[in-house]
Amino acid sequence: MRKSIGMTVLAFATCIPIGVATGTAARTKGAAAQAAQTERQAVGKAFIPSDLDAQAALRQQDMTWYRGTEIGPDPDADGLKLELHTRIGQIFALHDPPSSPARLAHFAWLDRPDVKINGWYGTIKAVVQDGDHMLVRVQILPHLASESGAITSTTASYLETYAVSDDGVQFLGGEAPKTGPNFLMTD
Amino acid sequence: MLTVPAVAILTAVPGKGSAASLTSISYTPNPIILGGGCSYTANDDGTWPVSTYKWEYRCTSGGTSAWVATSATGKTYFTYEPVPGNYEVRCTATFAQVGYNPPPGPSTVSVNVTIAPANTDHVVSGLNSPAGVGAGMVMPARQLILFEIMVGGTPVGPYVSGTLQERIRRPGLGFDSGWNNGNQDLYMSNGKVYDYKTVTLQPPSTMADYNAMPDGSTFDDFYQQFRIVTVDSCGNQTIMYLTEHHFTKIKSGSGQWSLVE
Repeated sequence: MRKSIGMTVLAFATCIPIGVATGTAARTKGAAAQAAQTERQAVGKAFIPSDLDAQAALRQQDMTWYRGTEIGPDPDADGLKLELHTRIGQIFALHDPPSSPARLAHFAWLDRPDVKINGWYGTIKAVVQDGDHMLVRVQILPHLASESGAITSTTASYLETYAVSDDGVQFLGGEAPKTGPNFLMTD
Repeated sequence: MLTVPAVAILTAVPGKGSAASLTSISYTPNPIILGGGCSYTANDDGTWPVSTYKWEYRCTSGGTSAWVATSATGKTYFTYEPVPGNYEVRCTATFAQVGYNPPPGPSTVSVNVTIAPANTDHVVSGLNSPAGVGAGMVMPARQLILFEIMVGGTPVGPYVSGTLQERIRRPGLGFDSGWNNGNQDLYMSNGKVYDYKTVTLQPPSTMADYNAMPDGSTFDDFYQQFRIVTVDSCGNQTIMYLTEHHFTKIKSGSGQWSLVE
C-alpha cells in the first residue's frame, strides 16, 4: 500500500537517528553564552547583550551550534506543489539526514579557522513519485558562521537525490553541479 | 529716611503683583532630524527679568517616563536627538528680584516633539567600483559600500543611537541569513553604514576560470537590508527598517568584480 506523507511522520520521528554533519556540530555552551542565549530567545533576534563577554560567547556559539538541515520549496512552487514541497522540507528537518561523505568532500575547502559549516539549507528542484516513496532532488548549500560575525555564504552547492517517505529520508546519491566558478563571500 | 534704589528709577519696573511667565518653547530645526542637533529656546512675556532656567525632558511614547534633568541653565538648551520617539521638553524659569519688588513665582512651559525614525537608506559610494577577487593565496580586497541613512529624503544626523543589523536574502538559493549584528566589516558611524564585502574563489576554481567568464557576468544576485534597533527612555524598543536593496555582483574585468544595483 502506498504511503502518503502525512501526520505519521511524527510517530516515526523518534526511531530515526538525527544526523550530525561535518564534525562541526559541537554543542558546547559556555555559561555566559547560555545565559545570553536564554535571554536572546526570550526577546527575539534583536537582542544584543551589553556584556562584551556574552557577545563574544554568542558569536562563538553561532560558530559551533549546529542548525540542522533546512530544505525549502522551489521558489516558483505554488498550490499543491508548494504544499508538497513544504511537507518534504518538514520531513528533512525532522530526520536531518547525515551529510554524505561526497558532500562533505565537496565543501571541505570551507573547513577554515575563520569559517565553520554549522548547518545546511537548500531548495527542492524536483519531486518524482516512485512506488511507495518519492524521489526528491535537492540543491544543498552550507550554512556558514564566521569568526568575525560577518554574514558569510557561498554560491557553491551540491545536488543530492533522496528517497522520501513517512518513514524517513534515505540518501541515494549526489553530484556537483556543472556550473562556473563558485565563490565564498562576506557581506 | 527711605531711599529709593537707583535701579528702580532707571528702569521700568513692573508693578507689585505683576505676573511674569514663560510663553512657549521654540525649537530648530523643525522637524527635528534623528541623530541631529536641536536647539530649544524658552520664550517669555518680557515683563520680568529671568534669573534661572531649568531644562528637563521625558519620554511620552506609549507611556510617560520620569523627568530627566539636563545640565542646561540658559535660555537655550542644545542637545542631540539620537533615539526616535515622542518627547516632552519643559523649561522652568525663576525670576529675579528687582529693587524691592519681590519676583513672581516660577513659570513652567513645555513642548511636545516627535523624532521620526530612520526609514530609508541609499548607496553613497562603492557601486560599480572594481574590487579584486581573492583566490588561493591572494587575499580578497575589501570593497567598501557606503550607505547614507535617511528619514524620508533627509539624511540623519551623526549621532543615531542603536544597534545596526543586516539581513541578506538569496531567494533563488533559499538563503536567508536572518538578522545579524554589525561587526568589524559592518558598522554605523556618523549616520552612515560602512559595509565591507569580499569575494573569494572556491577551489579548485582558479583565476583563469574566473577570467574565462565574460565581463558583465552575474555571479551573485541578492537582497540586502539594514535595520537599527533602539530603546527609548520609556523602555520601548523601536526597530527602524531601512531600504531593501537588490544587488548583483558581476565580473567587471580581469580578476575584478563590482557591485551593481
